[in-house]
Amino acid sequence: MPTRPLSRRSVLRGAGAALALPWLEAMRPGRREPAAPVRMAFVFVPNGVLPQTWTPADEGPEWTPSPTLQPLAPFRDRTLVLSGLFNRNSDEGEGHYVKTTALLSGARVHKTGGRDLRCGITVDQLAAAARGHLTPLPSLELGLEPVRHQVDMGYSTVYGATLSWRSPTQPATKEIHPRLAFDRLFRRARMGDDDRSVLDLVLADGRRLRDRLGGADRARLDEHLDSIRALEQRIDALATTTGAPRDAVLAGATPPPDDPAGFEQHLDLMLDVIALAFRSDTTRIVSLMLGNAVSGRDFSFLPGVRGSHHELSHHENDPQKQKQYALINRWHVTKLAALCERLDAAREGDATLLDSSMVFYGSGIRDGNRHDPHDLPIVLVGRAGGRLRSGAHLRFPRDTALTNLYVAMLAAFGCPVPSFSDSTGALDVLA
Amino acid sequence: MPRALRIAAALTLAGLCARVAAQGDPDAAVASVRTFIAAHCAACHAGDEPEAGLDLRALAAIDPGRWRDDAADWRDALEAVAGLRMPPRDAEPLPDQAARDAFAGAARGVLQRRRPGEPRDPGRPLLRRLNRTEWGNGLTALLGVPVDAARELPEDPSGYGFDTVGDVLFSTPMLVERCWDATVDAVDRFLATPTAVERFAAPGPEDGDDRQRADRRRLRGLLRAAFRRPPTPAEIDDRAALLARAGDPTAGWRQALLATLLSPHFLYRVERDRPERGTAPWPIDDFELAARLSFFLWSSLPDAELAALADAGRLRDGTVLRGQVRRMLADPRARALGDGFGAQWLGFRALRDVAVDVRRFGGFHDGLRRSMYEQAVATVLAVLREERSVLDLVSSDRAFLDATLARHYGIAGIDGDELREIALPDRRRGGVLGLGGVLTVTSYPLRTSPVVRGKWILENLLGTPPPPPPPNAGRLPADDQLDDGLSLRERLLQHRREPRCAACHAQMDALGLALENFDGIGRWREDSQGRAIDANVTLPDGTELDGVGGLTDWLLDQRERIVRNLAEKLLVYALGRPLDFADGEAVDAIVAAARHGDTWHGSALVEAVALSFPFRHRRNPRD
Repeated sequence: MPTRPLSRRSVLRGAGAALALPWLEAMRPGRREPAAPVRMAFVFVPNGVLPQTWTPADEGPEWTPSPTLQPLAPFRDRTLVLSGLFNRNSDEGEGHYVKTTALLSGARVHKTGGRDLRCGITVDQLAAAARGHLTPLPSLELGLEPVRHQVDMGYSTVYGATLSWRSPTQPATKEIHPRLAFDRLFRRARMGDDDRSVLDLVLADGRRLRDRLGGADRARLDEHLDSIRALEQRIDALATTTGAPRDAVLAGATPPPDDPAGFEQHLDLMLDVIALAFRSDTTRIVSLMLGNAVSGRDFSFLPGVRGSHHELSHHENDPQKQKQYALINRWHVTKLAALCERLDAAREGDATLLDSSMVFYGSGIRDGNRHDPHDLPIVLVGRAGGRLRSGAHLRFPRDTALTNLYVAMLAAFGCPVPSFSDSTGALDVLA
Repeated sequence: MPRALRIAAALTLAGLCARVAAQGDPDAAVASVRTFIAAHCAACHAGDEPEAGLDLRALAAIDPGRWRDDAADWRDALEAVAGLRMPPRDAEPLPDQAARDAFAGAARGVLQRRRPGEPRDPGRPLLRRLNRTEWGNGLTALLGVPVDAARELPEDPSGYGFDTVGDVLFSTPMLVERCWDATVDAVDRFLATPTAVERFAAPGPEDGDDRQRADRRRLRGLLRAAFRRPPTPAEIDDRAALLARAGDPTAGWRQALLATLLSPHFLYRVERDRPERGTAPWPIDDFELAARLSFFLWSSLPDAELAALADAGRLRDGTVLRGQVRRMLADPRARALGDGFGAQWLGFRALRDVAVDVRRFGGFHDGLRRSMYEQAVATVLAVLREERSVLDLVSSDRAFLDATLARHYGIAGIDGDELREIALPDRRRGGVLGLGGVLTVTSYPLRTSPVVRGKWILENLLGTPPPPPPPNAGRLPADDQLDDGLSLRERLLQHRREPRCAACHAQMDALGLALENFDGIGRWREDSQGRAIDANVTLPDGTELDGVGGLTDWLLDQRERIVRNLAEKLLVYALGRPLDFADGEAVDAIVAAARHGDTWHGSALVEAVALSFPFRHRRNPRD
């Protein structure tokens, strides 16, 4: 019986001891080692890149990292730089919002200030729908900037702030606080046995209400009831694994501070959360927005940069501006490399966590100065447990569908699909 | 300067034409629309393969009573014509501004007109979740424990500029988890006080069977408040069963409270449909009206007085309703209209996390940020809550100041942290254009942005957002302190030479440049980089404006557009849905009701929204 309030902090302190089992700890000696599960992360960077410092000069396995991709040098043999990919359905509309939100769906975005938002289901959420039940959290959606409150160019800003769509019409809410993202990995202590009857009653209320509602209202309530059921399923999943030593991974983790000191720490803490989520096998699917579409973040904290991201991305071929823009691009890639380092530091059997991962990194436009979704800047780091080809710079024929990459990634992830949006086959990235 | 760049000046005329056409000879309006299309559109937008698949001639040829069936196409066409995108610039003959406005006005008039016998359409908001502000306020009102909603739940997105629009208030597993956590927190804190549940109903004897009866009374009280209507017996029974099954009363109440506060009847704005009414609208019931009113004005649940009036079936009475609006506006909870409506309408909600380069703008700090926000809220609230002219938002010689703001604005003699209204010698700080908060959120980290400020005026004050820029449009440099010797004004001029940019920028830039005496954080300045600020601008129609004062006078001339825009935004916020052509009738009525001499009173505008047809009615879904 709670006689005094139970703070989120105290719950966390006690939570580590009772979490579900990561796959590796579950093995008993003498048993045949199961293949490490494949993880997928999608990292979005807003406002495109400077093409000339992004694209490596040479192609094939002997590629040399370009100035912007230099931070990935330590992972060169596990990095695929993919040139020539085109997100056809985002070619029309406007410059940023459409191209951001449809990056992972490859679908056409409905122009609206709020009513009937539609973007298509995204590759990460399709994977979560197919295989998310294998982990306590089907997927994790993260970001660094809150959604804005204006309609711009006739598009609701939901679009520019959303990378993951649970269904063609339902955006996945992203978490922007590292501390709360961390908390989600640990959830369980707040669910007692009594809470089961609470959820039952809430769902019963919902079902009775549902019978009285018409079309669109009913669909909206269904989304809500599904979200409650997802909570219920997590209680079940955690109940069956209670007491297992997943704490080997989680108990050692330090909770992030409530308020990060500045942007860089904010981002680094999110990278920690992703690495922890993968290591503990709490989820195998993550998406992260390094900024919302048209992000105007002030990058004057970087030596050599005076100005904000979106403004500098419109460099107008002015060398001074291009130089600053490239510095921002490169800084973002150092953060991708930092994520890879964190994953590479965690061993799983003979390999590292990075070896069993696919880390997608890219933007919805190529050059920030032109809002063009041709030849998108995309890299894929990690080998998906050997399912992906070794590192190389691959140039595909002009206008190869970006979504072909998703067909290949879904196959590597263990949920093959015949096609995805405008795909024409699987991209040749599989081993 | 090319002709026909007078969008702005003409919207008053457009509104006028729309109303004349709507009230006047219907056939004349229809005929004028058809004539315009024949002369200016049909060369491309007609025939077997019309441009962009849009056959405007066919659209206008059908029975005018059915024009609204193609509302989206009409909207596109009207925006393109009013926004000077169509006809293309090389078309012959090009309509002048007056012809464009007459066309748009006449078409709108026809589109908002009802056919004989057609029922009035109150529109239909989607079933909507409480946004996080409403949820936090509601929880606090019910339990009396503070809930920091901004901490507990993720930021809600907005639709059509407002986070009250149901279409974007999605539910996701992450949100439900956070909501669960926060509710458990709040309930546990609430139950930490032993007599906490006595809050819900009049206490009675608690021995033997009476204890159960007292619990049922309390459950009824809790559910009545949480669900904003009398609970059904089954809803009480279900929760009473939880109480009965639990080991002890606190455990039982914990479950009953959670089952109530996590129920969709609390978390969603449930309103009844009435299949027996078919396509006809009906007045919503008193409970639904009480909830609409309290969420509109307070972002919270109805209080005891509203609930009692609803129970007595008296709220739908116009006089009672009007009295309640006045009472509620006078209540401190009406501040929610400033944080909810005002901060989103004028965009200063973004102040919370706007990036200001403190090396460039050393005077900026978080205390100033807070003061700027509070000033903006107070400025909007003063107009919306009191019998003040809406035009005070545009032009006033009074401003809300504290010591921090006064120092920032260079106004002497103001001490203390308390915000108060001060009479000033001139109008440059009165109204929303002098607000540091607005001036800061419309700037970049290192400089002002006349373009963003101009766009802000067009969108938020005048209600006519410019169309998106063409692909591959250029940008201005991030910093205004570069070595090429060009002032920001000269750089803008360069940009505007590009013909495809000129149409919109000629107006946006001019409006924004008139504010150049305000720097990137809203301080007054006479010069920038050693050069005197030149805030004299010429609008595309030749009108010259001399800085802030000139802009203010020009905006006063646009008063019809401004008040109509404010009425529309209030209606979107209150109804939680986008407006349609059919809502034109309600907007006309709201503006007319708030009229007071040659201006409009803010509180009267709010009152008229609450009394408007769509606010008090509902219809069944159409499909």
